[in-house]
Amino acid sequence: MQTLRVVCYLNQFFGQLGGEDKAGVGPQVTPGAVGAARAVQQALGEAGTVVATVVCGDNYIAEHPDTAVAELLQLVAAQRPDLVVTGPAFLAGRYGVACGALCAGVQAQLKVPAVTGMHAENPGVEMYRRQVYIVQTGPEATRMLDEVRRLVSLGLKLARREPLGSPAVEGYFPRGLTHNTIADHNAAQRATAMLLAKLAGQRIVSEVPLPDFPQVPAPPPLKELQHATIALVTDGGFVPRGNPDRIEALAATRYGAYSIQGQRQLDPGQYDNVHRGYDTTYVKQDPHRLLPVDVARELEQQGTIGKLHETVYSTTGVATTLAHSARMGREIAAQLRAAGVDAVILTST
Amino acid sequence: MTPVAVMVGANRIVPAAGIIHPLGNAELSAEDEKTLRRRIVAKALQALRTEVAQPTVFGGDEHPTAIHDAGERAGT
Repeated sequence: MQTLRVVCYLNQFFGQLGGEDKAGVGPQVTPGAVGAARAVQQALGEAGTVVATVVCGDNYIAEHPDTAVAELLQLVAAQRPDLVVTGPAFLAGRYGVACGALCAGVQAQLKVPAVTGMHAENPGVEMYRRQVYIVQTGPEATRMLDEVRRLVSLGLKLARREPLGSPAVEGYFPRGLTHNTIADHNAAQRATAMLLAKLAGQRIVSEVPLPDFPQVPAPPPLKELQHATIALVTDGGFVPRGNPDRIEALAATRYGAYSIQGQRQLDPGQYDNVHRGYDTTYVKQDPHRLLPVDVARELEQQGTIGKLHETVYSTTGVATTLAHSARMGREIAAQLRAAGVDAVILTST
Repeated sequence: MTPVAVMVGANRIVPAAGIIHPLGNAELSAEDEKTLRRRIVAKALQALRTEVAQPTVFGGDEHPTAIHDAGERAGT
């Protein structure tokens, strides 16, 4: 097997230039393995040679986001590497972001495999794990050699184009990719086996990771209704005719805010419905089956509630990602709060 | 859909009259539908005035939903 040419990237500290006092240092390259890159060389053994170590100050990259990576890529490209290893950055945030950015650039522009490592809470993980192989490390360099070995092991597989195991096996953060594999047993057999194990009280591992819903503390109840402003919201796909805000039929990223000021009820002729997850015939016939404007108006007139908020909010709740749902919820809540709304009735389909 | 609401952590949950017409029922007369809607909204307002510590379903009235379930598609 041929010896691979490896280039390492380190920040000013691991490159032994200095601490925070040297964080403004610009890109530079030294032949061979310098500082923490020596751990990489040790882990490589005969399989590769660290031909150069590129170093740059964490602040330099943070302060020159548009140009610093390009400068580093030039230095890296000049070394004609077969593999680039950046970091590991542990919990150092600026360093982790720099490592991720450089790996992404090396892959995209130099078409060379790259690998890095950092702690799960390093901001570089969320920013780059989908594009870059990031090995999970501890928070500090205490077990650096062990962690560098895992980085290098993954890096060698990438450089040799060997097949990789799952993230859990290889130790990198899931990249959000799905691969089809052929299983020994069909899904019915595996599901039955899992159920039997569960009934026997054994620990099972779900094949599909179940989403984790954070517990949201319940806001305190309304003390009374006569002075309360109530807003109506729905995820049932309610839109004005023509869908002016182009709310998607599924996997929505947009919501609409529609005025009902002065309206005692909703005229079906003015509205439509874009939801693709249920039969919308009935809510199109009568939008009150989603947004009870008629009843709420009555309650307002009777004085049971203080006020029906003059804006209704709507989006489509089918295949909507958790991230977009949470974002839209926060944005709508902020608008409602700013408008003095006390409570919401959300109709969900 | 109430089990989904409980799972995702909605704190105050009021069961409605089916997915395809949560606040109505096409089988009823307009008058009866409005009564149904008033009842569910009243329950919602009651829920808003109730202290809860975790996802709570404010049930009690069973609405006829079974016959309408054929109208929903999978994946909501």
